[in-house]
Amino acid sequence: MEILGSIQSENVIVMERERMQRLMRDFIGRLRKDRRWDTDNIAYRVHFSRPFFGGKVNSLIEFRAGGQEAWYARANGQDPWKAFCRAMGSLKQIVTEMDLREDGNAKDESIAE
Amino acid sequence: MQRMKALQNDEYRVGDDAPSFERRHFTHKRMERWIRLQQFVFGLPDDYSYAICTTTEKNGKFRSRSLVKVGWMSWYGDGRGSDRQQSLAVSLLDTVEAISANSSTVFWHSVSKWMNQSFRRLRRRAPAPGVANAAETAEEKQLELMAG
Repeated sequence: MEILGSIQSENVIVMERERMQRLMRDFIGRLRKDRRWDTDNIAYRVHFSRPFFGGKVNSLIEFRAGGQEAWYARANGQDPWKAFCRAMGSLKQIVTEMDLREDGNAKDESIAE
Repeated sequence: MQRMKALQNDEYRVGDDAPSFERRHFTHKRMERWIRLQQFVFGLPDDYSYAICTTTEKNGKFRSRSLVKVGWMSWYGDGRGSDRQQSLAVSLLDTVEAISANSSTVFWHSVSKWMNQSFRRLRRRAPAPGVANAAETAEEKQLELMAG
């Protein structure tokens, strides 16, 4: 599997590009193992922008695994790294929530049987 | 160079066709607008983040999950539908309902806290009911009984 990604920024200087790319690749690789995607390559996009009013930086993360799954996350933070971490935190929490709820549902079904 | 071309092509693939790109853009816009409104109406913290995952299940049905975090609070929505947009709309509605219910609870809790504090302050300012007032109240009661 090949992971292709880009980090774009609008009026924002992004210093930790490599670190962000490494985190994204780790996250996508781990998801692929858990969710068994059979796609050859996955492309992701991380976009940073600063609104005209207010000092916070907005981050946007998007990726899609073939036709099967689409993931989006957005967050705001004091600087690009913080905004990115918040969006990644939400992505990780959604994975945990999904696992917990699916485990819960599986348990309920087994009790009902 | 070839790698760059592949990257650009794949980037385009992520962007997908124009209509779905537009819809994705509107999804982000709608989410942001909604979160901003909640922050304004209920005085929620300024920090926010959200994540959405849309999946195609084995039976061809679509399923979406959405998570919204505002400050220290987080809400999870779950939706199934015949197509990607419908499942996404259901999950967002689910989250939005949860946010709305929870935010109004947070709002009324803070209002009641503020009201209680101001009542307590007023009570402190008022003279404490002492022995001198007891005679007055007894007299009032007697008058009431006579009037009755």
